[in-house]
Amino acid sequence: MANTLDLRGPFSIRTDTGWSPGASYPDLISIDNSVNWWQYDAYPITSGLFVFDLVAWYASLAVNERRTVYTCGTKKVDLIKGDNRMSFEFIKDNVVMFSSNTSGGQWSRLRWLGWAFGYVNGTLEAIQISYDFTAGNYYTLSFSRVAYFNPSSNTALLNWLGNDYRYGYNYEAVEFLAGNNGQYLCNLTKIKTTSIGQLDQSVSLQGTDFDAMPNQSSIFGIVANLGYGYERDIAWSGNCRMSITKVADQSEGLDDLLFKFYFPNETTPFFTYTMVVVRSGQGSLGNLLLSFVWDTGNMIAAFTPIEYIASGIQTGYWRNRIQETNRQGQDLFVWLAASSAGDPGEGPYTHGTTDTGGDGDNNPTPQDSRPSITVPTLSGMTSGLFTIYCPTDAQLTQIAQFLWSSDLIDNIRKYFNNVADNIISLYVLPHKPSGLLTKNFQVGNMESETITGVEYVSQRFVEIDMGEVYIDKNWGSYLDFSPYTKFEVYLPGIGMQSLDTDELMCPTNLDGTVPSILGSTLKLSYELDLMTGVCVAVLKIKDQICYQFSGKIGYQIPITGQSYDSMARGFMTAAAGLIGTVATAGAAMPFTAGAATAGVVNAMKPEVHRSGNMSGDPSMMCFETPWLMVKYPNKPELVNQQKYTGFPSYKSGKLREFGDYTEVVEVHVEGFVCTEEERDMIIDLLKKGVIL
Amino acid sequence: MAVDIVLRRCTSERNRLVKSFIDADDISLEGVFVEPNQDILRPSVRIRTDVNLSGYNYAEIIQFGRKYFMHPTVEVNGIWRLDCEVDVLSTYYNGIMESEALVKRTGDNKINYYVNDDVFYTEQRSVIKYYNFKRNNIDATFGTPSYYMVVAGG
Repeated sequence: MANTLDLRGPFSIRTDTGWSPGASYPDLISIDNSVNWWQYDAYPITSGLFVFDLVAWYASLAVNERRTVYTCGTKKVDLIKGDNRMSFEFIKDNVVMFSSNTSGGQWSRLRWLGWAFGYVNGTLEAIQISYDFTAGNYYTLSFSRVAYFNPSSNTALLNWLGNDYRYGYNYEAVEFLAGNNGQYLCNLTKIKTTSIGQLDQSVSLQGTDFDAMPNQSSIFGIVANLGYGYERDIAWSGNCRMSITKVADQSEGLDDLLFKFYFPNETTPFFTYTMVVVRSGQGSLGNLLLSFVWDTGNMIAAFTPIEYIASGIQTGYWRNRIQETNRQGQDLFVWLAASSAGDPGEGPYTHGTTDTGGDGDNNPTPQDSRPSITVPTLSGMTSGLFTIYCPTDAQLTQIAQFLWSSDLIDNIRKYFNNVADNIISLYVLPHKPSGLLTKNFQVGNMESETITGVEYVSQRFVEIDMGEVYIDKNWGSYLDFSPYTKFEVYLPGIGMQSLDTDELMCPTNLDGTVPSILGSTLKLSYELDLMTGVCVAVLKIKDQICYQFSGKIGYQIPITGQSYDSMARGFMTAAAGLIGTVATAGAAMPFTAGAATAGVVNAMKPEVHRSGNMSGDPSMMCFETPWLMVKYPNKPELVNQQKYTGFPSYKSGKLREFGDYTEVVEVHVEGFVCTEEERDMIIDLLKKGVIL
Repeated sequence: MAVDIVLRRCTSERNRLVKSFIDADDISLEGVFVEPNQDILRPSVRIRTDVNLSGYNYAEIIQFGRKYFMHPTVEVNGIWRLDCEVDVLSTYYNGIMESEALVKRTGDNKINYYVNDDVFYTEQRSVIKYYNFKRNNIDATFGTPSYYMVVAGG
């Protein structure tokens, strides 16, 4: 079973598999004869490998027949059958660099024989691999360092291999990342192929070492605004993601950036890369840029983030080949390959190189971030003035009995006129924090010895993650924007709220640029006051707070006549969010005249209310899961509309750059001779529409 | 003045720059102008021929270097009158394609679907969809409900 694999590059020797480079005798690896040798995972050698099934080749060749079994440029490997022997010749530029022979019928015992190339303690060497069948069906797989047994042969094999590999791989820059259902596209910083260098140390590069350094690949603003210890997803490749966490380094003025790479639905990263950078504002760090390199032949990749400093450009990457395993590089290749390909198409805010009118420069400037809410810290929870318990049903019964026991009443009367004055309120909320501490129930100074293990709240304000929704384009046209597409969100405890369609469809990036890919992620969280049930629903678009609506959840349980009276009067219905931004519901307008274009159709449709005020007591009787409602127009199927009406362009250029039905706003018909009447006729026709 | 004229059968509409023809039926004839003071944009040519020219609708007059939409009329004694109107789009195709324009609508390339010029027709039917907020792919809720009892002291 000879193989003619393309030589892509050496593989690295894994030191965690029992191989001990430099040992007096290389380990022999024994495997079960039922194992398919090609899939022996301990040695994932899939390239740079020449293995010959000696038995099969010997049988297939005539005596003295030569057969080329591998070619790569001017290199080749020939197999020659001799008289009771097999010979191998590694030839380069028609010169035999290395030859080897088997003899004495070894092909019947030495089932497979081959060579590969790899690194042993950082030194490239040739490795001989043999699959040896001995008596009793016992197969031995052995890896032998040619340099150990025959240094001159090792040199000859390496001379045949040549020096056109960079650390054994043909790395080149990755062009872009795309993913998250089309919401993310990032053109990456690209190092020139000839400048990638060895990945075992930091490399200083200059501007001429890069093919591209787009602003999209900059994460400087993200890092600067990121809170310590806060993990944030910053890039997607297909459904895979990469996050960054900033940790304050022990050294003053430095931060650790943890880049974590995840496969879909995984919570444990398969690879974490730690990069130490100068803290923002305290050093010469000018920019941080995302960059990757990969070898598509060997299907391996490396993460190569770029630090830009004031004195030049310096990479912050290195790939220590001892610590970072090939498996991580292979996984990273899979992660990168998940990026969707294809033309992202015309974005809604594509800025050309021509003048856009006016005297503004239209340069994007970063906007301020609004990542999170800081809840009040002064809550009185530790004052001892009150305690908020979270009793179970059974505990509540016990508490009721305890409250009305004679001992308690006698003691309470020494301080208060009414037992009920000690019970401030009893209510139900749909949320209970996890990890609450417990203690014996106590009211005033009276502690119950029998009502034990009652949970109590130590933090008054909590944040509840209420999930997220991905918003994607429908038509990829102006129909995806206001007023044709509408978004409303249902917030439990608040009601329906309208959202800005334009902001959801195309939210501005934090650095001030507008994305070319439509859509966003809408994240919802609730800030809840456990003492009153007052809540604030916080909606984030691209991890920035854009909407806040207040309401109230929960309901009161009366324990005295006074509290019931208050409840009946709606005392606990706190100020809530608005019913909706729609002031009135309108009647539908009849069709009048004209074509059924989107504008005409949209103008006829009424606004409707989908909920009333859901705050307060009603909050626990309505649907608990928030939802997002999207309403968008339905287009009839039109075939070949480009031939009849064309599509909007409003771009300039020579008419040969356009096609099919074309209609101009204005045109300069010049550069050829014709009568003025003909010229006017041409202009008139072009304005009415022609077919190019 | 005698003119050399090529008559063709055109199958394309007037506003198409590159016309299509039934090429096998092209005929070349020689004709004379009907009237003096001919307008080269709207010439009228008289031709004597036994060929039935009623099926021809397009002409190219070599001496004028122009192409024309042509309307044939039968006169007496085998004489046809060909009334022509210049086809500027085909005649000046190369120059037109090199002209610079601000294009309002086009069917190919440099399309911007986000400019709202009411090009899209929509039905009276709308699409309304609901998406629940999800946390770890599960519909988000507030979690476990609980009693809360606020007591003095404690």
